[in-house]
Amino acid sequence: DAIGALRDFVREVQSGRASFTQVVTGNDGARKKPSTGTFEFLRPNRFRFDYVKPYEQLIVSDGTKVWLHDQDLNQVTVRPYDQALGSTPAALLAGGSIERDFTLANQPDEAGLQWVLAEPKNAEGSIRKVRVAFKGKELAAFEITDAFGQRSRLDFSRVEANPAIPATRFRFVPPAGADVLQQ
Amino acid sequence: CQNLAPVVRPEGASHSGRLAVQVDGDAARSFSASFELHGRPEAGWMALANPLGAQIGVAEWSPAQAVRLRTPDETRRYASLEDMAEELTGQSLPIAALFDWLEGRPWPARTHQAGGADGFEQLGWDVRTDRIADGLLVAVRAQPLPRVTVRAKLDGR
Repeated sequence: DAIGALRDFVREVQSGRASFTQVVTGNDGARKKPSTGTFEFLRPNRFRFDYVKPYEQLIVSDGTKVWLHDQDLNQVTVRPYDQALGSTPAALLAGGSIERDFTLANQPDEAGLQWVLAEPKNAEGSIRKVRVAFKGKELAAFEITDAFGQRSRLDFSRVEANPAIPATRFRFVPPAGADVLQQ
Repeated sequence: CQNLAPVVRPEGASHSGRLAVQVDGDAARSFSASFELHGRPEAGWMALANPLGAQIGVAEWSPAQAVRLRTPDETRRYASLEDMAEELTGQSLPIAALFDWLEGRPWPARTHQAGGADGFEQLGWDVRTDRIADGLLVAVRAQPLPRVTVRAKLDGR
């Protein structure tokens, strides 16, 4: 079942790389323009979201801090890992202790994907629900629902399990001239 | 999850993009987020979200109702947008003026001085609109200290 697939994924897949398409749907049903990019992770808690379209934005976690670099605004925001952007969803994929942090429940299959619902045990902050989907043993999608009922879904493609990814990939040095906000 | 009532979309303009507010020397009050701005200065709503699409706050206002700010954990009310911005960032941010500034023009409801080819001055802010065709707006308030810089990049430009 989906919980089994998630447990296997956390145990067997120590690193990963995939392309993603992200679609945000408001609680009024309005779908916003999709964004695309690549996602990489390396347990424990190191991840990288490289947004390419419609604009470039980078989110990098080295497991201790999370950097957000918005190139158009030339600004870098740095936060401790546990206070960053609701580290919840990334913790589900890149973390190592999902049973400690989440209550898991199988959900009905949808469009050939097996879904598991993960509710954060300390549900403060902007994220109320995270769902992860597998196609057999392969990570297929994840979906975040915030406190306002807005849903953000990332669908993965070109998924690679256990590729060799150097730890340096999860370090970030702010470019010269960028405003850096330590929060 | 407790779904909050959907926000009704008022008449007027619609803008979305990313917003960065930097308060010199006060990183805790500075932030960057995705934003949506709908309506007009008199009645509208504004939402801020993190890059993964989770909203961190929704503010709604109209002549009949003071400003209502909903966050994931609570709802608060303010007499004006300036009061709300003052409490959240320690600075009176010109949210109502953004509707016009993001179009590259001064807010008609307040006086302004021309500022040469780069933009204009209004409400104590130096508003630079020279790159508005690329969707980039920069507004700086040098006085009173601390210096505050607001940068906005509109989607799709």
